[in-house]
Amino acid sequence: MFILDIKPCNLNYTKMKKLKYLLIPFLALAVGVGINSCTDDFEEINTDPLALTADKVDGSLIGLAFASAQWNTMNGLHWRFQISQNLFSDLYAQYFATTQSNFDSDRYLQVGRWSDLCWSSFYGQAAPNIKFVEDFTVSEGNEDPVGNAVAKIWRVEGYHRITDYYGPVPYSQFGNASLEVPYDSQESMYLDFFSTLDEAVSVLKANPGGNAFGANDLIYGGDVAKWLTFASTLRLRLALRISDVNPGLAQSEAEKAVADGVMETQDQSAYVSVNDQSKNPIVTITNWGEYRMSATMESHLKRGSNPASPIFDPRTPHLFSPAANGDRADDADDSPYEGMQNGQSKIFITADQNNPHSDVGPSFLPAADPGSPIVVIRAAEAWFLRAEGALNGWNMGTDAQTAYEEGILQSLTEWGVQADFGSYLASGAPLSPQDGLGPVTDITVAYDAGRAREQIATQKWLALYPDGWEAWAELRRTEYPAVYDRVNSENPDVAANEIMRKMQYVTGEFDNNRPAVDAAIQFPENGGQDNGGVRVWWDSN
Amino acid sequence: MRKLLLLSFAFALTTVLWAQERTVTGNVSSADEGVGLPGVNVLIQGTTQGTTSDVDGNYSIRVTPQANLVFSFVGYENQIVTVGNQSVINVRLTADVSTLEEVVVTAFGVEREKKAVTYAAQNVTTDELTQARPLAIAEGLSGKVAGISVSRTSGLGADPKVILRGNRSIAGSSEPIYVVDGVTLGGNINNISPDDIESITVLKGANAAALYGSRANNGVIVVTTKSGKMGGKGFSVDLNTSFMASRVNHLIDWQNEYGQGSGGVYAPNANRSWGPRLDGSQVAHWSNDPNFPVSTYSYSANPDNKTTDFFRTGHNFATNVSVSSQGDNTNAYVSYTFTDANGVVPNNQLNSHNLSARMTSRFFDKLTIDGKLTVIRRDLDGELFEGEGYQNPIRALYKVPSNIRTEDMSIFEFTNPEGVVEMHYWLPGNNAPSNPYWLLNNVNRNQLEDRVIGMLSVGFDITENLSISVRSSIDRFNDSRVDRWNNGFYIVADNGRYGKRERRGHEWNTDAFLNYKRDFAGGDWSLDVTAGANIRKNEFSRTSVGEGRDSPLNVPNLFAISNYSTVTATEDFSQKEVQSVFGFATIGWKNAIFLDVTARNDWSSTLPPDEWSFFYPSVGLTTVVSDLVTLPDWWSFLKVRASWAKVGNDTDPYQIARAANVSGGGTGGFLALSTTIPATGLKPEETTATEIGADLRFLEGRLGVDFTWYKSNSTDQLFAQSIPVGSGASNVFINGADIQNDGIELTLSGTPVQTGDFTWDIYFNYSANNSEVVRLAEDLDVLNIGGASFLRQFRLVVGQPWGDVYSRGFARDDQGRVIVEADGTPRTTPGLDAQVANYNPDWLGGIGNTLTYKNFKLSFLIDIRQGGTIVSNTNAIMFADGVTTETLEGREGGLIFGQNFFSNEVAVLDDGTPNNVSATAEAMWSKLGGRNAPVGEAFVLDASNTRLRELVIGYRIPSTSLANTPFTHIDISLIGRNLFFFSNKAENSDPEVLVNPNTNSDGWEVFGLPPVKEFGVNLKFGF
Repeated sequence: MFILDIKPCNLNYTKMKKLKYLLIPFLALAVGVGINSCTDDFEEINTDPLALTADKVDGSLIGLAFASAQWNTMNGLHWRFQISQNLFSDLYAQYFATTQSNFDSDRYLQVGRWSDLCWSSFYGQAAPNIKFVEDFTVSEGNEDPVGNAVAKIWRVEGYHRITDYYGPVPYSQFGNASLEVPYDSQESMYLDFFSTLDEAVSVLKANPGGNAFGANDLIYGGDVAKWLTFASTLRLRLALRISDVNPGLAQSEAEKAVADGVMETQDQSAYVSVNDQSKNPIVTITNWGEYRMSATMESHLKRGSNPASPIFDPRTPHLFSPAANGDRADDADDSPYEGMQNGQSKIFITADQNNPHSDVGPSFLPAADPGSPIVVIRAAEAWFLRAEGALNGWNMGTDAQTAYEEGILQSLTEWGVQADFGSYLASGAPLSPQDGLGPVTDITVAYDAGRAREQIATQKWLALYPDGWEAWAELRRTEYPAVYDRVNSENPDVAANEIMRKMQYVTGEFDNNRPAVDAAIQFPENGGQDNGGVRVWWDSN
Repeated sequence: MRKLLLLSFAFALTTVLWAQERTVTGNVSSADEGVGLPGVNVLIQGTTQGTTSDVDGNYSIRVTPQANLVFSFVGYENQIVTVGNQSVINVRLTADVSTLEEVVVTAFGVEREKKAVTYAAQNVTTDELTQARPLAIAEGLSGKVAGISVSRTSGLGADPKVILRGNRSIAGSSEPIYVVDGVTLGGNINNISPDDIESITVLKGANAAALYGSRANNGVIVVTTKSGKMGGKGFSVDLNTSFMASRVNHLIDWQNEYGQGSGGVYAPNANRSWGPRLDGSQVAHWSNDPNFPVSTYSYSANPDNKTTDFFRTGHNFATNVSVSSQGDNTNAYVSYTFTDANGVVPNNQLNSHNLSARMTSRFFDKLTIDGKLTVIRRDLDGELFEGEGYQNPIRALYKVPSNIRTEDMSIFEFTNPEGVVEMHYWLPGNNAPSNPYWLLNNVNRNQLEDRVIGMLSVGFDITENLSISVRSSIDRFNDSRVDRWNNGFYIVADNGRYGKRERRGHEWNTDAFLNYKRDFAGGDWSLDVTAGANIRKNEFSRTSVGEGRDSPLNVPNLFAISNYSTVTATEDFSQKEVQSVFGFATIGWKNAIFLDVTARNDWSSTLPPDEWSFFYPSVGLTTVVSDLVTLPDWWSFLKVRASWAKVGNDTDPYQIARAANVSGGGTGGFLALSTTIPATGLKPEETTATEIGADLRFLEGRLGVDFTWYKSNSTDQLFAQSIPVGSGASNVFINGADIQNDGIELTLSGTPVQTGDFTWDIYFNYSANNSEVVRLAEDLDVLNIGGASFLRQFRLVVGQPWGDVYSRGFARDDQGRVIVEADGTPRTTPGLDAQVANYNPDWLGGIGNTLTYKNFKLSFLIDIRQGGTIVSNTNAIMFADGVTTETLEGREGGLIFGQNFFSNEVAVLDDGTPNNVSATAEAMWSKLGGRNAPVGEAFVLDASNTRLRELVIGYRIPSTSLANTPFTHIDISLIGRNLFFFSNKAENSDPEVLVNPNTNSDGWEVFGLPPVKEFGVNLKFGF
């Protein structure tokens, strides 16, 4: 068989002697009818006029990629947020309970397609853009050390979230453009997080007046000073996280963080700003009516000695809305703030559970569109972290009680109810959310040195709302706050009275990265197991 | 046969006998061979009297001298002889070339004798398409062509999926391309009026298609539209009107014994049917309208609420008027078709207007100008939502508990005391199902399509042997789709959702070719050579607003762009260009041996510059053995053929550079790298196909056999391979794969009975295709196609057939025994990791019969699909809801898996002892079914079925009765489509209905429209 190696513009007649007599007439024809049989414009035709290609991105555009990395790391897109956070950690942390019988994740069943999308939301949407920015800012001609440092800090933020969910995950080899991407142990990742923060902080300190990505930095508008505070607060969070498994490193990192200056007031808190086209995802998913306040939350918000007239947490009307059906009959109070137990059976949820229970607060309702900025890290959390560090005997620049109370005050300030600080401190222990359920705990708000650890964790849980991602991690590590048992668990590895310990690995990895995920399951951290009962590395007590 | 002959004699006897009758005898022979022809009809003209010749061709008949005898035999031209004084009349019949020498339409609209064709091609005529008229033409091909698989998708206006000789394309479509009057369409033919079609030729393999260019590797459906034959006579008007009513064939066995609730307890706001037995007692009403007048009602069955109350009688009313004018040098044809159709689901309706005009003129005996313009407008209202989406009213309907009364739920909304209109529903606030009547009225999607197909062709005969032709054709569409969803719907923007999408595109083909045709050596040799060039441009653009969930409205349910509080809009554009040069030649010897050679080279803009050019040839040989050697008398015709072809293909635009997508959001917008990494050195795809076949006819054509064996391999396909997302992207675009299809096609046709008035024609089509994924890519043995649904994943696995469907399965021990949990329900695999179904049939068959008696005609087509399995998402959800009869058993408990439940399985407990734990039906089906984690293995259905596809009872009013009317002919037919199943292994669903035509929807049944039977009347008038 012969190969017709010609182009119409450039006929090679010598090769084609035999076909010459055929070609001449039809080429003549082609010209005659005006066919432009040249491929000169093929490259132009095959260039999408509506999109850029990666090689066209320059320094003026890289900020857009950083903005995208920030937004996607927090799962800004509504359905990604729902599938990644609202249907998993928000339920595991018992902020919410699901009101839809089909939603098995509240019964500890990990719906595969959701967790697959959770995984690919981070690795497909956030991680590539983080890497793109990090690589771009050191590429020849595009050097931007400040931008690179901020991207590094953001890398730590992103990966600590994903490893806290899954344990060992791909990190150091991310973006290897290969058919197999090995996983890193969580321990090695945390060690790298600290050194990455060191690198970034030293660059930022050397460029005090610098700016990264300007307005495209959706958190601080590129303000280097604020990013330094962010980096320290993140370092403090990570230090406490490993305090059970590596207390020495935890202490030194925590003390380094405090020495560098962590967030102290609300104006330093980190939020991803929202606008009409990148809203707070809660505003959208709330509209779908698929979750309501948990019974655990209701109990923690209701305090005092008289069940008929509870003293509500002053933040309550900001965190939640009254139930559409008003006060339920089977509780002692006359208040319309109603929580629902987690892990209800499909059969129970056959009936409407939305109207009898409390939706999220006004700033998250559709009417508030595009909603409040998306929480990343807040000052209140930093105070609670310092309080716990102080209990550990670390130099946190303050004592535990002061930090604990400052944390509460900063949280109340966040919701605009700081005036109620005093009465809240005196509000007593939680009350029952409904008949048949006793109070979830008897912990008080007023500082009690004997139970300070539980108090700090409990108040941090309240202050972290609605960040279920972080709240679930801290619930696992500290075993606080007290939560109700689930009504049902359909997961053989995690009983209804236990806390979900980690997310199973996802089917997409078993399909596409099998050797790596199989190897990761054999890591000592996983102990050959892949189920919701496996504790991640830092979850050791 | 003997009985029929007796019948003919009986008719003869009833005729009054004349005087002067005498016996005439004689012999009828074939003019070619001179041998006697048995079974020739000898009829006295204008009467029903007649006889047939015996085995030697001899006959005997009593006639008067005035009579004319008509000698007729299939495959021969009729001969009429006046008796006169003769007593012996010997007749030599000449073969009728027009019937034996069937013509097929091949590349560029060239008609060729079927005997010269080197590959499998099958014709379907306009009569076969327009009588038992389907709304989409392609549905009319099912069963009539060996090797075609036609699957339907939901609702009016939905395109069927057509596959010839198996699936082969991983990333693209495996459907054939459509060529109308020699020019490739951009789209399909489903909105073209069947009345305008003269004939359809199905060219099944790549072999047939080497000349249609790169998309022809899936076969070609060649359509010839009506133009009027030149040199005919005068002026004619035809009116064809048909009315077909359609009704749902209810196949799901709804249970009507238990009602709403769970655990055997009635709950007025339950959405499942695990309540107590329906006992007629008064129970609280479910209504969420505080002012609803009824507070209690009878808890009893409403067996019609999901069937006759909801579905209506649909119709398809089509009227065509065509005028054709035929002159010596100019033909003109103008046709208009109006179709008004209503689906069986209320509000699903379609109107279409098709206007078509064609004019062909010949000047100076040398120049031919052919122009055509077809304008189509199709208005589709209430387009059905398909699949498992909450918009699908079928899904909502099927979930309705039996105790819900139609009269209550058909009041689908009410105004609450605050003045807000709300859905009237038993479970307000639930995200999944809705009141089906509310969905029908408040969640709507309408589509308006415009399409213009224009063609202009100029041909010039330079000499007697040399001609040149230039042609340009455009197929242009634009459509507009509007979604209006009221605010009560799940996952909508605030205050309702308004989405609007405008699409337009075109395919523009221009070609030119030069043809040289000549006989040599006194006609022993013939040569037919064509060389040509083609340029094809495709363009597509789409603009949509509010398509996602991010364009909330200000005023509730006011569907207008001006009412958006924020607008999100998206836009797509793509274009490509393919240039080609080609040549084909046929060399014939003694009009009995033909050698076909084709060669084509394409340059496609979508490939990397080094690969723009790709070449593909084909070669075919056919021999009409019966023209070369003398066969036994009973063996009339034998042709053998073989061909080999290769077809190249390109890919979609913009696949060779990694995109950085820009979108709204943040302060200055977002930029994100595409998740697909482009391949660096893309090569064009290739399909290599071989086929051999034989065409045999016996008994002067009364029995025909057409056999084909084929094999095709589609290699170097361009598709996105999933890679670990941790690699930095989720897909890499690669070249790879070898998808092999081989199989046989067999067509038998015959005329078992042919007497003077009665003819019985029958055909049988059979095809069997085997597919195998021979190779995917290096280090890649498994490839998921498309995303997983909750139920299933469509997957290719090396060494397996195409199209395995994976789902959750039962967890089994080493011995394959199902492990049962402590609560008595089976343990299941965690992911979609069990191969549970494969849609590919073992074989497809069609049996068509036409019985003609005088002016009456009865024809029917039986369509058979044997083998293949599907996994039923409908059942997974319905069974978990407890609405079907399968869920009646074990309501009180006592179901033991492996014993009286899934008794074909062996089940053990964790400790290995036989399972003896019982559970309730509710617990079992809730575990196995439902929406989010169903166990597909429990819901596999055999897709085998046999149905009566078409039935036509026709009558042609005798022309003698029309002598004093303006009509030249009137035909009246009673018609039926899909009237019933002879057998359907899938019982409660129609395996032929797919959720959509996408590759990965094969083998997945999910709330499709129930099977619909259609019946009606067709009238044809000729003036």
